Amino acid sequence: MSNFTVNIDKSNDIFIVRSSGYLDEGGGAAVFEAVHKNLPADCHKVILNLKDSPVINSQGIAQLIELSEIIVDDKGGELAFVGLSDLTYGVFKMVGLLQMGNPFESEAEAIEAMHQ
Amino acid sequence: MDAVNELFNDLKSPDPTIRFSVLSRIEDMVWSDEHKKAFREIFAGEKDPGIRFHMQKVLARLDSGDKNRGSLATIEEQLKNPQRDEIDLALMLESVKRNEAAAVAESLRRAEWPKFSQQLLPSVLKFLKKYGSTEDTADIEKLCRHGDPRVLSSAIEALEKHNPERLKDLIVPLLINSNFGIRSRAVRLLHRWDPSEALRHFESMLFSSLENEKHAALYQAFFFPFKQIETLMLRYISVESDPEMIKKAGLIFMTNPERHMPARLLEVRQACVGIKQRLVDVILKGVLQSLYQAKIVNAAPDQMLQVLEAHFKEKRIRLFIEHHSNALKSPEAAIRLQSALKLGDLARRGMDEARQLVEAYLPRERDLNNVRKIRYFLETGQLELQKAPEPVQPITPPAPVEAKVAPKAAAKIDKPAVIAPEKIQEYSAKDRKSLIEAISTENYEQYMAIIRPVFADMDVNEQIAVIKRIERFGGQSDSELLIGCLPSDNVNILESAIEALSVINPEALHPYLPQLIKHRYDEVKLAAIKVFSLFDKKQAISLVENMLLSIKPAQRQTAIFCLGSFDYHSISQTLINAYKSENDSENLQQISSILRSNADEDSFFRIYVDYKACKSSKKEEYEKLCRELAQMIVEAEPGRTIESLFAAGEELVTEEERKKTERAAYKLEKIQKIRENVDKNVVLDASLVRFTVVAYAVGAVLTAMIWFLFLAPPPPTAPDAAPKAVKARKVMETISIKGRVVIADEKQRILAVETEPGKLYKMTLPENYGSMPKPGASFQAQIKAEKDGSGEIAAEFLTSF
Repeated sequence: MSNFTVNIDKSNDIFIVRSSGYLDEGGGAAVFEAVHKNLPADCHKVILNLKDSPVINSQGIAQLIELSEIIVDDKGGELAFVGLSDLTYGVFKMVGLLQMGNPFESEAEAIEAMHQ
Repeated sequence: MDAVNELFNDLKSPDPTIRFSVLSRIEDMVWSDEHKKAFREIFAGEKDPGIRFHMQKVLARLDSGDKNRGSLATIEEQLKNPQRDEIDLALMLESVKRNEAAAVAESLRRAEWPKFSQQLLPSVLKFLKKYGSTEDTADIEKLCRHGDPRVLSSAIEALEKHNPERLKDLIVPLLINSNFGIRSRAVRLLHRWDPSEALRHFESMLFSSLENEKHAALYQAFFFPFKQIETLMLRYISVESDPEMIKKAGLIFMTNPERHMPARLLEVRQACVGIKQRLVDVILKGVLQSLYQAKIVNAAPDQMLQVLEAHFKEKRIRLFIEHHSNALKSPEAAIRLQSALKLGDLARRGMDEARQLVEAYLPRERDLNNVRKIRYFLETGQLELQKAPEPVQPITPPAPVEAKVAPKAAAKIDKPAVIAPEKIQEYSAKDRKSLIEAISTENYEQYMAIIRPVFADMDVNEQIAVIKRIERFGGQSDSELLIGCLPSDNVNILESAIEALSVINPEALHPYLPQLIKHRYDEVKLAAIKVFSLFDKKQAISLVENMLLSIKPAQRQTAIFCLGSFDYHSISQTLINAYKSENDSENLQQISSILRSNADEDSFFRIYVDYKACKSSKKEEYEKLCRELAQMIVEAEPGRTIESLFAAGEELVTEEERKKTERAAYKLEKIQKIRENVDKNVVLDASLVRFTVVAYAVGAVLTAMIWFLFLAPPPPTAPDAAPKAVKARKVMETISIKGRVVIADEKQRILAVETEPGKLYKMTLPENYGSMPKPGASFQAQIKAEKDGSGEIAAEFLTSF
């Protein structure tokens, strides 16, 4: 997707990924790569801010599942989803992604929960 | 949104696999005291031992609040203790620190973990999925044949992580597993190695007669690339009638917005009624919204919907014109006349293309009667009457109305004067015609109040004109008047009345459809099938398929035209099959025209395979059709070329050939055969299953009537008079029942539960159920029983709740 962008940020020990645009296979791969390349080895808390990606297709979801498995299962880390649209919330619930990470309305809420 | 409460609702599901899947999701959520209380209440009612174990585990964690207690030392201590607390051990395994994980895994191996209880095994497998290694694969692999779906699914996940290739050998047992969740998981695994065969399995599950199987397929649908399943999903949504299933499928469409999808969904929406139409409308708007939000299109959803609706209308008109202009070449004068009249009707409504077609046809028409009738119709808009107007069956006249119209000037004035209805008969035909033509939304009730009492005495043309006004401006209040037309012997009146009723009150047609579908006039039959398809598309398609088998080309032509009124994706295969078997050139032309107006890659490839397999003189026509379709696809997608489509078609043909000779054990047909053998006590009759699965209650009754009156094969002629034992056909399915215990045999553990007067489910309760319920007690359970059985029904107990 030409309009898809992904930005990374860090707030203390939390790694934040913000995507913008239609998260399809290409978008999913971009998010995956952003985390894979930039996630510091000692960082185990990841926030995926999907507020500006209200539509995520099946292949995008497949990429996010793979990424979540690496963060949660392989690294034993913690994952939070921020800004899920009603559509993506329903789909995440159905495919079990909410089993891997909790949903939050805002980054602030997610950060607070992760610090608890 | 309260995610915990949402998940609690799923914990009340009668399906234990759903309840189990929820448990792992709720563990890490934030719990309030109210949540804890609600969870304890649900736990108290849970009967399934496996689920109880995991609920206890959740409660233990909530009570202790200790998340980091899985140290190597404490786990080893537990492992050495034969009387260990399994819940404690399961919790410990879930909180092992990374630096101790390898040592814990080693301890588990020494403790021979595969011999642990089936309650504990899922936790161990979950741990080994994270921290196990290839040395565990042999043990994990053995558990991939476990009888408990919880153990089995955990084992599959673990093996998929450590050595996915080993799952290849397990595909067959997984595909025949009795749990649909496991089957669908196996289909997803198969997709890694043989995508096309996996999609055949997926299709079979999606169109299963069993609700649980369809649920499992819809869940897995999220994991397939949408492009590969979109045609199946469209066909599915088109024929499915269960609102919950439609909603789930809708989520998949909205998640995968594709430019071409809204037009196809609009077709589906237009081909259904009631709640289904509303649901498909929501899905269509959801897809438009997703397209807009994903910035795939720039047009706002409302704006795009308007354009689509206009295109849809144009497409229908184009198909209508193409069909009738083709029929003008028919060797049968009656068919030419009917089509010319239909085109004449369009011409009179200002459609120049239709007028030009009729004008071009008239000089060629050799039947002078046809020429005269058509010219008369073009001039007057009326059918030429051969005899005195025949009165239709009397209808119950509405209460006398004080009419307020001066008919002579009705078309010209806004405020008609008061007149008595009976006076209308004294006016000339021209004035009556003006009165009818003047009916509009604003004056509808006023004018119809005058017309209703005298409708039965009007001539055929006037009645048809009134019916058309009712179709356009009327409502349910005129249903009775239209139903009064159904016994008419006039094909035009009947056709108009059915079409009008299908718009203003399709449900009112229900009791009449079985007879109308058997009507001697094909036009009437066609109109009735179109309405029937709104309620039960699968059966309506069966009816049309039956008509396509007719030896009369004209009847097949009617059927083909009827197919054009369905949404394309529900009948595309029927059309492609019809093209293969059809030999009449006009009919081939009609089919091509529908295929061309819906040209897409999926249809192109299916036709291409038939083209390559064709050995007859029709091969040239096939090639022409393929080229036309390819051309249209290329026009819509400029990046493609006709050559690339043909090359892809060749690849597909090679693949099909390869599959024919392949002897893979996981082939759908082989798996289906094994499943049949496994479940040999149950005889599934596909057509009967299809027939019984209808979501709308009223639709079920209607389908039954139509089945017995029209579709059901005639009773076989007995070679002798002696009665013979007939093997009952049973359709078993998993259902939930709630009723009162009437028999409880403690010794044999037999229980009989009455759910409604005269309906008794008899089952054996397993030992692990505990003490038998007492007669009179209320009993709620999930059982496997004969679908739609009555009287005393043998059932298999699954779980109680």
